[in-house]
Amino acid sequence: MKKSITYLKYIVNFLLIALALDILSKGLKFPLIILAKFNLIHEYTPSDFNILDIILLTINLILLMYMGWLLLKLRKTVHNPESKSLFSKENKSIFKKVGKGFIYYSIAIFIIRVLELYSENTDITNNPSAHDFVYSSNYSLGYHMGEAIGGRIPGLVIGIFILILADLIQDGYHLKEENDLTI
Amino acid sequence: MAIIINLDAVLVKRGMKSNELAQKIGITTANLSILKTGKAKAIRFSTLEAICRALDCQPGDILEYSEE
Repeated sequence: MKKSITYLKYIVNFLLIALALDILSKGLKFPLIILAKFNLIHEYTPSDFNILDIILLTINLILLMYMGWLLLKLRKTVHNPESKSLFSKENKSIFKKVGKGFIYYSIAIFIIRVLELYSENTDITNNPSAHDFVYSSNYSLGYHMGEAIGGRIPGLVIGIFILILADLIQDGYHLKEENDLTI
Repeated sequence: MAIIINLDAVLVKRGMKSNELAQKIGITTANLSILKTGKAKAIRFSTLEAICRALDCQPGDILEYSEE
């Protein structure tokens, strides 16, 4: 049991680091937008970021923070020195929340990516000079859609895996309770 | 639960205390309390045998079935 908790610690820590880096990379875009608005930097012009982009970026960041909160909850359970066993009602409910959170997060990010792609595509089609490239942009949209779907599959798989773990924890909890109450 | 534990009554009949019985049969007083209060989900044959030996009684004296 100790070994499985150790492996779980590694997974949770790894996910937290990945999430922190993602939050950092997304969060750093806001100062860039502000600096570009005041013409303090010229790499990003304000037209590079339309309102939809900023809204989507904010939603993305909020979703990432929600995932971070769920993972911190999971980390608290896994790193709790008082918990001798993984099989408890609290652990089951936390695992279920995290699993569902991962699935909702993956779906929400997929929708955001599709909206982002849609906004990028309409920008190209509205521009007459780029009209010739519509054919190729459709290819690009298809390619990016495939990428967006493919990119969300690991998150979905992790979510389903954590939900399975939650079910196993529930079964384990019942067996442990039965064993504890056998005299 | 439909199974009633009459351990208290047998203990009174034999003039024995709970902790004494727990010590004789080799279980903790906490576990014996779980058994007496009917919170236990199961009882091992080895425990039942030890109780019967210590109290000089039959399993039927300790366990009773009643329809709920």
